[in-house]
Amino acid sequence: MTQRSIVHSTFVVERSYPVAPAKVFSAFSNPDAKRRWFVDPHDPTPSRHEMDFRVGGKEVNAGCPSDGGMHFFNAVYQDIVPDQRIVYSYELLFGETRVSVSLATIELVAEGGGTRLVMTEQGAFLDGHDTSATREHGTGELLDALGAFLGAQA
Amino acid sequence: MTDPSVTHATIVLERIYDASPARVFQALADPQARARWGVPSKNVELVYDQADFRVGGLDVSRCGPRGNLIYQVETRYMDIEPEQRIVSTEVVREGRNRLSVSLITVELHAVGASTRLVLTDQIAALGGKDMIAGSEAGFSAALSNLTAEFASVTTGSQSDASDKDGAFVPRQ
Repeated sequence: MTQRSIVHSTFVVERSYPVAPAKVFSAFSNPDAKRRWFVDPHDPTPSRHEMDFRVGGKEVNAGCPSDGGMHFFNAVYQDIVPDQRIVYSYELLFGETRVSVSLATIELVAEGGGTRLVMTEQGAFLDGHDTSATREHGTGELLDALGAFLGAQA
Repeated sequence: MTDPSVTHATIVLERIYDASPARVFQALADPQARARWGVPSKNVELVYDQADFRVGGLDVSRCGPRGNLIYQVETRYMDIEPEQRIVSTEVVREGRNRLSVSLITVELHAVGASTRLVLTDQIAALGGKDMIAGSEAGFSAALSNLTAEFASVTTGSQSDASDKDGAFVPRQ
């Protein structure tokens, strides 16, 4: 019997964007907009992206980054408060191996004329396939990509 | 207006059971067993409307004061390793109001002939900090009840069938 392990972690990533909360929210809720920035920098053209942005709805982002194996991001939206909050759970699979299960909370707070985004990720990393530090770094890169996308829209 | 603030916490509970990991896993997997030991006190009722213990499967239950099951709980199984671990997400609602979303892992480790269970509840409380204390108290009481589950089995009797707390009502 293979010995299993779980490492639990919580990290918080914050960014400020010079646009209103409604615009930031739209970048998460609109599939065409999300597709523009929610991409693996090592795999800019995912083979499949589907999302159903409502509570209980799912999102799938499948791609084949440089290491050659298929990666799957499978999310379920758990709670949505327009322009304020998005909560979703997701699993990450490398091929058929489940790497992690996470709970992500995105909170949007109006700040001057812009928005402060606070993303809290509570994660269970399974069997040492990935680390919280790597995930936190990747999350920061995604939120920077969101900033670049929002800047190009402004 | 929904309060937009979210409170995050990690709750860790540990117990040692005088039973094998296989036996403990079975008590976690079986919804009829869970409806017995999952009830935190005699004044609380727990009813499973749906149970589907497999990866991707969904449990739907209602609980609350006896005769007033105001809370709905949806548990989605994300990862299952027999006798070793269960990973699930859990949403607690009161009517249309979502109170919390949790990522819950249960790990089982053999310690001699016994089992050490570690439950980790990574919770995002949407309705204030009370849900964090409530979740911890509920899981803590349930895990303590689980001890009795193994004691009753060693008698070999089916006395559980007459236990009114075992309010499992399958609706298949």
